[in-house]
Amino acid sequence: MTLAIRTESLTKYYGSTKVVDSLGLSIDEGTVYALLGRNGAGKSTTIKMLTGMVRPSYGRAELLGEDVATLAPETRSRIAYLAEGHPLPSWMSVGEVIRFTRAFYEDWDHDLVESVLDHFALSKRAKLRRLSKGQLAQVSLILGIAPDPELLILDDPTLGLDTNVRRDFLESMIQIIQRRGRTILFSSHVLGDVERVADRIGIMLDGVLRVDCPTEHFKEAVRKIVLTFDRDVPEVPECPGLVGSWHVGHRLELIFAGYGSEQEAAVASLDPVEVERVEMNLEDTFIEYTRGPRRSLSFFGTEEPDDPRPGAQGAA
Amino acid sequence: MIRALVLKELRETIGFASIALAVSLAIVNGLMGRTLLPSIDVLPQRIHVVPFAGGVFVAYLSYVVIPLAIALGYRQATRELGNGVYLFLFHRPIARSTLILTKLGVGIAVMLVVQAIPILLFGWWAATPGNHPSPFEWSMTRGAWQFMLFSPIVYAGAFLTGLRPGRWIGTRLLPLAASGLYFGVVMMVPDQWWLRIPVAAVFYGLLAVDIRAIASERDYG
Repeated sequence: MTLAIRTESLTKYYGSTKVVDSLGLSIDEGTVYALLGRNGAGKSTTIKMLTGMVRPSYGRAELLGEDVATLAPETRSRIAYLAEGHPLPSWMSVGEVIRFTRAFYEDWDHDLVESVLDHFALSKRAKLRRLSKGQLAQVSLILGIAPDPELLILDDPTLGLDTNVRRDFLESMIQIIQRRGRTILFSSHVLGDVERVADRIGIMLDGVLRVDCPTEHFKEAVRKIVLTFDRDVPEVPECPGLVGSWHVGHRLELIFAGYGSEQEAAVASLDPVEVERVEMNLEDTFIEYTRGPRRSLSFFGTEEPDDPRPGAQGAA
Repeated sequence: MIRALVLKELRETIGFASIALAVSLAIVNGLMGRTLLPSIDVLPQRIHVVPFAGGVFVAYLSYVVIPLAIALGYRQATRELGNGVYLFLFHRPIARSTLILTKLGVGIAVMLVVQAIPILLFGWWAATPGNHPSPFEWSMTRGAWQFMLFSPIVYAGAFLTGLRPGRWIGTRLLPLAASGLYFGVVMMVPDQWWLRIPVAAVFYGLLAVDIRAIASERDYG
């Protein structure tokens, strides 16, 4: 299968801080890929490097088989990019920004623009500066899809939107996805949204891509095991795939990326009185996987980190 | 697409341009003895010297044009850095250099128009018999036209200053300082067209190349 996005050792330093660290990403055509991570994990910088808005310190990226550093205008016309916050010239009206954007494209689906404007109940005469965040996102989406792009890159497109607008936005996005062969890469903080639309997820932690796998695979691979003891919680032994561990009183929570016989044996060696496997949705899984040692900053001081092993590799 | 970009830039610069033009015309009105707008009395009364001679007109014009050049150049470069609109613009299927040079071209055109109108108006008034008791030839306007042609150097320096990702204001201001110095020297040296024009062209070229390179290489957002 052809790759829509490919990066090799993509790295970005801001001063001496490494924001993105040797990112190697391959996204097949037709995939809906969600890039996740906590604030400051490097998602936005990665997306800006992919779209050529930020120059990598090292490494390279390809979109639709072409190097981003020398992306031809013709190739760029096949790619839609919705930047975080949907920056648009605020003095323009909806109609003006549509006319302005249309001037750059040979292919422009006028009927689609009209129908989506109608769907979102957007007036062409409305000034962009008077629109809500949700309406700006809708205008951005219209401008993005009107040239019928093969690849859509969206940087946290639902950031700051209320639930209804977010759902509407996502449903529109799903309609686009259903068109044949469209590839979508989007970053998001709303894990519920990701669960609904993404085939595959990538999780960045401190600039490093720790997880790159199908969404379901990640949910299945990350396990939360809660152990109860009739004595003080023992030391947790070294174990492959152990991402984090916390204890509260006589209960010990273990988070594993990949739970098999080796991990089961390690758990059994602790000799708990009870072992509980906790079912998690994607949001819980993400939180458990990424919370790391910062969780030790508890409001009540009742939880203490036990060697959370932040360097443990992901589920892929 | 160039037309769309030009219209956008014109719309975004029209505010500064209108203010500068209004002030320039008020100056010209004053120099003409308030013959155009008798009630406008904010600027110099009619100066009883030969029109365009002695650099009086250029001096008054510079009070408007130099601040316009700095404000327009800096604003055009930084406006879209501040609100993130470069992320929208630079993803359009057009070379980044074309986009930036179009911006620059529109800015320079605005600078030229804002100066050409008062020069022509004052020249037309001076050339009309009965308006003033001194001789006049259009060749006397040469100094004003030279000022008009060279002043966009300051504009381009301000544009580069706005676009340059300097860490310290002192280094960021270097292009503007260099342009200002160059412009000052050019306007002060004796009238040597054969030397001024090629040197100015080289300076314009260097600024344009630098602006293009920085626009291509800097990070946005």
